[in-house]
Amino acid sequence: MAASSAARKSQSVTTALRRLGQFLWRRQNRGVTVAALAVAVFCGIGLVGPFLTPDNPDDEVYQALLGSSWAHPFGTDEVGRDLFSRVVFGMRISAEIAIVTVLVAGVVGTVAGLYTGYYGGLRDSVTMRVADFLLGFPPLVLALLLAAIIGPSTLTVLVATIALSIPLFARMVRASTLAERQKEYVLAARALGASDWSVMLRTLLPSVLGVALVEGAIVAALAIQVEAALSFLGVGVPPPTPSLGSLLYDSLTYISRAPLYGVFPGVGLVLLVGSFMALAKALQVRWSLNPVSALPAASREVAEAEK
Amino acid sequence: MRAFALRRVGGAIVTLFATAVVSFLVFRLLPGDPAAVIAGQGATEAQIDAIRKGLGLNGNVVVQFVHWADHAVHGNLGKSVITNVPVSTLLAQRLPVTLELILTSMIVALVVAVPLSLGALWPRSALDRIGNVWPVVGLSVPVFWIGELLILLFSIKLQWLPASGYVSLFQFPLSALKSFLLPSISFGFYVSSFLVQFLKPALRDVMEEDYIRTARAKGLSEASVFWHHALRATMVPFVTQMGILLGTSVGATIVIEQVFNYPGFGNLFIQGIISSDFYVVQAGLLLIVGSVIVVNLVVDLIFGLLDPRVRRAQRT
Repeated sequence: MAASSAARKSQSVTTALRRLGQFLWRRQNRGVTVAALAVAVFCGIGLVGPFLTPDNPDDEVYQALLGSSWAHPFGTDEVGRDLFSRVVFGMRISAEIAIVTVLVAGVVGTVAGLYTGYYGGLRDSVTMRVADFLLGFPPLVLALLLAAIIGPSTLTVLVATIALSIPLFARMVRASTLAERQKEYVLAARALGASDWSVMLRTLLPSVLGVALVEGAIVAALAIQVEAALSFLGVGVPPPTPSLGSLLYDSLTYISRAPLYGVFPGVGLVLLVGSFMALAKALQVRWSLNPVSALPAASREVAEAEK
Repeated sequence: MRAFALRRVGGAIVTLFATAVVSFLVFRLLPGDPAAVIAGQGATEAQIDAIRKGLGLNGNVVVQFVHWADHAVHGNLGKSVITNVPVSTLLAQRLPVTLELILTSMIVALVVAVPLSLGALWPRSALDRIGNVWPVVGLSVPVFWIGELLILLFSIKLQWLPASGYVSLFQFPLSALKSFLLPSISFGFYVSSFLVQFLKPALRDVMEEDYIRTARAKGLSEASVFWHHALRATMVPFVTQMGILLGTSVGATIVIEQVFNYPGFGNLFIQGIISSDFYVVQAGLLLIVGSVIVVNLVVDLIFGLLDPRVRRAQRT
């Protein structure tokens, strides 16, 4: 009896797994699955990798600027630190910044977008004016200013990427909230006496979640690039902590003596950013969402009005 | 049109004013005291105070802002606290250099982006597929890494092109072109992915419009349908997108200039940030954001002129 129930249980687990696999591998879901897997793998390298690397990334224990070898697959840097360990640690910083930025800015920006889109009026126009103003700065410039004011540190980079991302989330979520607000199911929820916050979080949130997810993947890619650019310019993650951006900058100095120095951190960066960009693209295709944020302000109004 | 133009210009002025306030505040927030930096070490409190008065940094914040804005409007943006050169002179030296880079990059971007976007005319062709992947690749690869790879290939391995530096286009045209080539390709590649991302869906949408079907039904050749009907409809959003990219380019070249050690505006700005050169950062910020605002305004106005729907749209 016990044995057969255990067997039935394991059978149901395998069926459930097979169903999940089939669901994920369906034609329309396949792109998202592959992209999400790539994101998981490359972020995973950053998050788990540091526990597996052979060397401490800050130890100067080897000869400087060694080429590739079995002991040092990526060679060593200008003071003899193992480059493989440094690239993996750099990916860790990138992944951490991407994840924290998406979580914080995603929650704040989504709530702000829901709130302003739902209530409209003065609250809406003031918030959107501020968002427009912030989005008027090229992303890197805003980050540079924060670095200049607070002084370069990992926390500064995070503050900058979050400050950049909140208006991005808010704008997208607001646009789709506006489109959904007048639909019957929302009116029905309100007619049934649901409170404003309940309508926003229970009724509207699921409808705008797709847009927020796409934006999340884009924001992650952006955050990684901004961190790398800041560190490349020398105002990001301070040394000796390895960052993909500062590794690339250092490699530029030694480019004629160690041509491969800069190739490995670059590949790490491209894999991370590229997997997030691919995820954004796949999610967009999956839900056939059209980004309107790329349009000039005036035509964006038309696009929103026509929705 | 008039109401629309007034609304747009009014909005731009408000934003410009906000930018001026922000640049002013940033200036106040930067660590350190410009008067103390100029006075040098060992200056007495009285000397610092005198310099502060000379800079207009005494009194309350509103008075200071008015003082600064008055000078800025008259072209006096202060002097670099490091080199003591007027900021307007520095900008006059560095801006043209960056504009040359932006211009050549735009040419590269167009040469790449236009043919790739034409893939929309032949769905599922190889060109169409490359055009679909291009923006994802282009936006995933950081500009400074492309620059580094180009240096690796063309300057180190092949030794065809210089890895860094700037040569004036007017003095030595040929070597100037050589020194432009790598930075322009790196930045142009980046810009081209934005262009393809925008232009290609626009062209695809236009090709599905009713009037294109009508043109085909009339028996026009595919070439004629494209040149006379599709192209015109795509030109407007395309030109606006080019404008927007131009506006943001002034800030975006900072990284490229760092890779190629290029003595342009971006280089000036980042040096100013690193060394807390108050007046340089302030003027640079105003310039970067100002160019975005002005270009956006021009783009919006052109758009409104060409497309009546834009004019009539109420603000949502």
